Amino acid sequence: MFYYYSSPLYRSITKMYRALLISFLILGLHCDNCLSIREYSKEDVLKLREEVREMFQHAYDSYLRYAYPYDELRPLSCDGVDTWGSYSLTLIDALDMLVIMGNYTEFNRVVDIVLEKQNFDTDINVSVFETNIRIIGGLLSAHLLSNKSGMKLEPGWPCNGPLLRLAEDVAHRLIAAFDTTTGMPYGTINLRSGVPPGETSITCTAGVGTFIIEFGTLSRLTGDPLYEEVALNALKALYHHRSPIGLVGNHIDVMTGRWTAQDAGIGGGVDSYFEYLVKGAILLERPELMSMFNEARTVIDKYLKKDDWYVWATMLKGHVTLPVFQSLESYWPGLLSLIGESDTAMRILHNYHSVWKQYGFTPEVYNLGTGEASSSRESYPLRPELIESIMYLYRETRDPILLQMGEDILRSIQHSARTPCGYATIKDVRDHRKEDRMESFFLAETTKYLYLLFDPDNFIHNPGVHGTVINTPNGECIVDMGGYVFNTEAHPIDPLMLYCCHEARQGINISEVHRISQILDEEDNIQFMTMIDASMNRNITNTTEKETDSETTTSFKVNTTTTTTNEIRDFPKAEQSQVSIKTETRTGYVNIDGTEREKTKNESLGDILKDHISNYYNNTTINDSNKETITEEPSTQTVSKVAVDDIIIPQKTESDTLQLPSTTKAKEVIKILPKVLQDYINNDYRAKSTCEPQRMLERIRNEKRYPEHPDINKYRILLTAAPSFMQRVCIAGEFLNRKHVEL
Amino acid sequence: MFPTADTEDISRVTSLKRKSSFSSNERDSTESSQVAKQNNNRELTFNMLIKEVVFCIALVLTTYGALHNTPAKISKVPRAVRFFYSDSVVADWYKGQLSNALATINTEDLSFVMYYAPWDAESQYVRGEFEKAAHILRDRVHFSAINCWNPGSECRLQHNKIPSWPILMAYTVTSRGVLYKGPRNAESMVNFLEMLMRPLEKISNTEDLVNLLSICDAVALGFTPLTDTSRYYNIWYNVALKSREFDTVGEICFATVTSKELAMDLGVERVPNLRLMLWNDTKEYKPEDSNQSWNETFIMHWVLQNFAQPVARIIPMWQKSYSFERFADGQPMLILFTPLNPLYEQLPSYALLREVAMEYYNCKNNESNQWTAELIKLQQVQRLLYQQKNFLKFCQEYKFKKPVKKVNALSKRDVFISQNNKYLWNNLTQKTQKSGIFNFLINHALVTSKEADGPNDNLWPKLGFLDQCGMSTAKSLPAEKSFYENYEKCQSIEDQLREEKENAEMDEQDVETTMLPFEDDPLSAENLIQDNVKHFCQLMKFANKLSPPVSPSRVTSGNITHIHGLACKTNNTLYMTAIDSVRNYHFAEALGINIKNKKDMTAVVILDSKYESQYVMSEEYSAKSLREFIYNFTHKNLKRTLRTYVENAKYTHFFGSNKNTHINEKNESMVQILDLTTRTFKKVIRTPGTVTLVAVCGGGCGALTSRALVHAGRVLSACGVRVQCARIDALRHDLPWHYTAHAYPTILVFPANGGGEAESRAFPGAERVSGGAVLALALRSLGAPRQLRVRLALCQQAQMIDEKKACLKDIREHINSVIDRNLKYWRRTDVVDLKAALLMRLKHLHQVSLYMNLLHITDLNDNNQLQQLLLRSLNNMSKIWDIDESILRKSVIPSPINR
Repeated sequence: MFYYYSSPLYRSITKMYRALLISFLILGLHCDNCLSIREYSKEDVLKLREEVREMFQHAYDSYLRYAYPYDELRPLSCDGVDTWGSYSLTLIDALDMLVIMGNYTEFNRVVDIVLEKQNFDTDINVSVFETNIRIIGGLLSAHLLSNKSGMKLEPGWPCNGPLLRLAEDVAHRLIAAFDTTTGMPYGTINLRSGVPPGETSITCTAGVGTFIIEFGTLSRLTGDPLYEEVALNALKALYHHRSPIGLVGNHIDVMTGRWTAQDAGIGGGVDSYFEYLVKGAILLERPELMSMFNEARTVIDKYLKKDDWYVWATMLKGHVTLPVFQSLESYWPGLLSLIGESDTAMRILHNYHSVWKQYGFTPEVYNLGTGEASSSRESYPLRPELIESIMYLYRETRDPILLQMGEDILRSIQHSARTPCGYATIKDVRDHRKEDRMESFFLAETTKYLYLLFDPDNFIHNPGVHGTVINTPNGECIVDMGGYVFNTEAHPIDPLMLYCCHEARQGINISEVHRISQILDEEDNIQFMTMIDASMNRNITNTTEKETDSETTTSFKVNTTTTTTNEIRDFPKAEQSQVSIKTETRTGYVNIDGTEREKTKNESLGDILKDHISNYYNNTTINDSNKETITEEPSTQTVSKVAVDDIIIPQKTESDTLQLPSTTKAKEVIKILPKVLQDYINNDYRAKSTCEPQRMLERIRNEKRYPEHPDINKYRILLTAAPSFMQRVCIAGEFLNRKHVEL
Repeated sequence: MFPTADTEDISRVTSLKRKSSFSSNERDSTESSQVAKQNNNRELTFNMLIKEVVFCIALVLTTYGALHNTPAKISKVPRAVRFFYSDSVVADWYKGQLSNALATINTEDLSFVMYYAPWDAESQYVRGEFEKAAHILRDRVHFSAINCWNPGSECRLQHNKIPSWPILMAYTVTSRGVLYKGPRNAESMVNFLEMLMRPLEKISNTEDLVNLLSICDAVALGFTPLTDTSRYYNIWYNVALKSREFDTVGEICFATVTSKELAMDLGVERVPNLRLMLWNDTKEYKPEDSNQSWNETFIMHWVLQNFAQPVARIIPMWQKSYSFERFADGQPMLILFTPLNPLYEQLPSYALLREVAMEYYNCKNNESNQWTAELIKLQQVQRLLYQQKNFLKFCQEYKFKKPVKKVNALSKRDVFISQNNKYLWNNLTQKTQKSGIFNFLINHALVTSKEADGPNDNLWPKLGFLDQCGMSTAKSLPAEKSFYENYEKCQSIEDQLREEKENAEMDEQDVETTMLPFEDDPLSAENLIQDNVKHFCQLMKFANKLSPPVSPSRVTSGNITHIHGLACKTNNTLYMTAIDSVRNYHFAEALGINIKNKKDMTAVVILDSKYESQYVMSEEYSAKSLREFIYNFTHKNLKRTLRTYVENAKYTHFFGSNKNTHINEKNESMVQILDLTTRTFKKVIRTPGTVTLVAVCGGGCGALTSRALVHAGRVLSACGVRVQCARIDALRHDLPWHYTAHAYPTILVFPANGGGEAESRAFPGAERVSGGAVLALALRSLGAPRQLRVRLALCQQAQMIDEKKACLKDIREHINSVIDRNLKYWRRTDVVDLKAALLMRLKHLHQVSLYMNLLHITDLNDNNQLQQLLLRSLNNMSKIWDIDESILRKSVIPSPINR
């Protein structure tokens, strides 16, 4: 093969081929003089979409032809290579893209190929993080999308199915990595035997916090709480170990909880931790995750944001260490658009795109001081982050400039990364030399986001205008209403599928209906009382036909008079009067119905109402039943206090035994033995010491190492704020004010 | 600088290694087998075998090592290829041969150079526009394109830090290059180059100046008498050139006075000097030391600093910028969307807004009041005259004439305008005698040191009729007498103009005989003129293809409300801005204006950020409607326009834009949610007899929100309630005030009884958006009796016994609380009618409560007697439940009370 490869004949052939290709390209350039369009009608966008489809197809076909069953394609040498494991990574990663493009037959064919594998029982060491996002994520999304392709589904889908079982099998193999003192996982694991002996306990932040989407999905589909709890525990652990100013570092020792790399940033090594906080909050409806993100974001904006760039700083003090932009950071604007901050996101995105404009690609590291690509990290491995943000923002804003940016990316890749068999990593963005590698995320992410940008009608973009009802053993279930959540490897997950197996048992939760009804009734009650009392006031002031209500108690009279005076004093606003009335109705009839009522009443008040009430009480101080409302406040505060004050670095559990995953015990002994024996013993040993997931879960539950976040039920956090009025003229790169620009 | 690593070398090295190793392997194996055959000695064979094995192992190892130590294969840098067609007008230096290119450029009077990167999408786009511009100007300008990215090339080595592609530069013989920063479309580029070809307007008499003033936003006038070295002139010339870097569309007209006498006439004592004549002011450049400060950078800086215009022209550059920043300070802002084609000499729509803006800002107390008032009239006349011209017709007719007769057309436009003006001026100055515009301008403005000597308020009383001239020149004759008067005047002016023209023609023809035959001499005056006309016509044709000239509609009836000095009467002063609607229609569409369907693609909108309202002018754009619009806005007589996205916007893409695909898919298992717009919103929420659940989302609705909505809807309809689900994208659709949400998603419920709007209920924000919660929200709008019914049905559907028990318990509790409340109301109120109604309610509630308490979970089926009794009593109750609201309504805040 090598011989053939290097033969002069071959070379001349490749040369000819290349010449042909180049001439073809030239032809292509010149046939269509306006190759680049800056204004995109429906047809233009579809044309671009088809170009992306062709792009995917070219790379995908080449992979199948030259590289399968290896992990990745080598686009210059036209062969395959194993990189992250040997599980045909690119194939699994590209699966759901076939559904998104509507190529169902190929999808069904490939699923069958993938399913030939019963499990992942191989003796290889893999990255826990990469396996999770690429393999588990890919399998899960393929599983959830398989109803689209007309594939024959197993009964019980989506809570059951071969792909799901395969995903669970992988997850099960990964779970042993979480068996650590802190609950944060190891970085590497052997698929057959768990944590490899002598494995370093140092993991990057993203490697700790990037599980909740896949594991949460898995838990809710299978009904096994193990995965979600373990992932959540890891997230909590990370949150717990943040620095006193609230930043997280780059690498942490999962056994001691000590930060080994203390640079805080939003890029490489940390990125998907933040991503998963937001997406996890949306997917699993967990306000506490969003709250954790909001806290993190506040400090990030405070310490790391400079002139709409994000730099690196020390996690303890927030001093800037590295003024660089990383290609990986480009996901941030997309993340902000998910929480409704498109304006800020656009500003940041424009900065990032300017780097793209300079080089045609974004280098791994771009030095902000010199305005140049870092000379040691100048490659571009066809990363998707920038186009990801563009896609999200276009969906949110429909800003035409984003289509231009998308085309910028498409053109550069087509011009400089395309090879006869695939698309190659750019070795040096400054001169566009190519390197012999095509990472699997090119097919899984880059092409997917590009495709979705140019396909506004894709089912993924469904803004909630239609859905499908499917019948599950749990009853009927509504799915496919849009709002897909992408994992960090761009595998879409329909949040509604999770509810099919998890919550949708009996249709609607009746007690919840009752509870909310009570709250609402209470509001109505207040309103009605207001009406009545307003009519009363009128009568009092008029004093015409006063005698009818002799039943009114004296105290009540006092109250009404205060109300009227209050009304006179303050603005005669509806809210105000509502509030004042409310207070007295409470004293009136709280006792009729017993204690339960009182509870609901506390809950029933919106925050605004609460404020008004306490104001009112503070002003008048007639009643003292307000204690209830007030006492609630400090309790929550103290809880959050505990959470904040508890961080000590390194963690105080250091004195505890660090040898919890029993593997560490024998380590020292083994090292003395000769290598052959070591291997033998290891194999033997591993078999015995495989971690018992259920026991680990029990331990995590019992230990309760990390307190619950105080915002656990504050669903308001999940809402997004409405943009300001003048924002509506802010398109095409226009912004309203510079006040965010510091430096 | 950048390693253009020749990987051929690398691969050759590696391949050689491999090759040798492989062949040696071959050779060795054959040798060894021969040896084995010849010698039958076992030991020897064994030895050889061992040797061989060892050798093979070693070989394998080395090959393995060689394989794995070779550096990762890296390709060459992309080869440079032609970027433009080979037959293109543009010289393409695709290998980045900078010095060759510059050598060519230096031989040309004016050249326009594009530095590009071949992979860049923008460069690829600009390539087309560049070519177009080159096609039009190929006789006058040299066009070059240089690949300045090609690694290792000359251009790359010299300019290795270009932040964004392409870079466009114009080089003249004298200048070091003017960077082009304007919009990268052909027409703007052509306009830019035209400006560079004629950077300065020569002013030889006051008429020229007046003419210029009537066209431009501002005139920068340099007094640079010719000297031996003409140093001052040169500097001024360079300033004019260089300023185009910052003023890409030519808002400032640069002019020069080279005659000392004229300068003296205009009141300039010391030369060189510089004046910037703005709409409300004339500024004089005051150098401290004349020698030092007559300096390009200082002057240019000064001009750009002091430049101001009544209407700010916003040219979005489609990159990160803050063009709107200075207008977003809380004051309202008026935006005119209209085609601003840079190739036309004047833009009447824009000029009209300029006049109106000047009128609006021109306050009585202002010192420059007079000057501005005059300028308005001057510009108005100029605009009206311009509107009547038809260049296309002119160009067409021109071609049919023989070259001999063309002379009069001496770029007819210019002659026409200046002569018209001259004539008008003369004519009118004669009529109004002393207070002519010349005198006035000279007295008042051009001589800045002096004040105006007299009130000239009624200076141009007769000019108003010109507004109606266009009308009268039309074929139909209006009935009113005043129009006849106007018509006459217009006619007479036109006649005079025609005479003038003919005179000119005659003059020319007289002169003509003395000339050389022009066919032979391409540089003869005639041929030059002809060439110029041809060029002008070509430009006009090109401009017309992009967007035909537009002008505001005629005012046909009614008086024009004048808005003199309105800006000073309110502290809510409007900013006036104009945006090109051809290139930047997106901005209009973002405001919900379907600009492409508007007449002339012209629309006016006011954004009032203080009240979060926008107002779109509904009438056609004209002098009258615009003034009224501003007037009404100032007096708060306008109705807020609700923005909604432009449905047939060709260039904005939404989900579901090709609807047919979804209709096909429709089947049993599909659930639909109505996608509302501002327009359909009101209709849908008023659907009679149907409860409407609306999710107000920012952008797309989240999956969980949609699900909650659909879920609740399905449960309700299963319980016999007519219900519809809908969503609205609040980022693109404004809703009436009371539905404006501040956080998304918000869920609104509109009850069935048609009363619609006022009874919507917003979702309690702190709660989780779930099916149950939305259901509860919807139940509330049903009224207690129906609510109980639905809840009973719900209990019936529950599957577990525990659940059913809990459900019934909840209902009982609910009834209790309803009784509590009504009792409370009854005790509280003093209105007799209300008391009676509440008493009725209580009676029925009592009944219901009784049955409810008797009900056991086993009774939860349709045929059960007890349940039917209960349902009947609920029916009875629902009849009396609603309380006539008017009992309480009289002086109270309106709010629903049928709970």
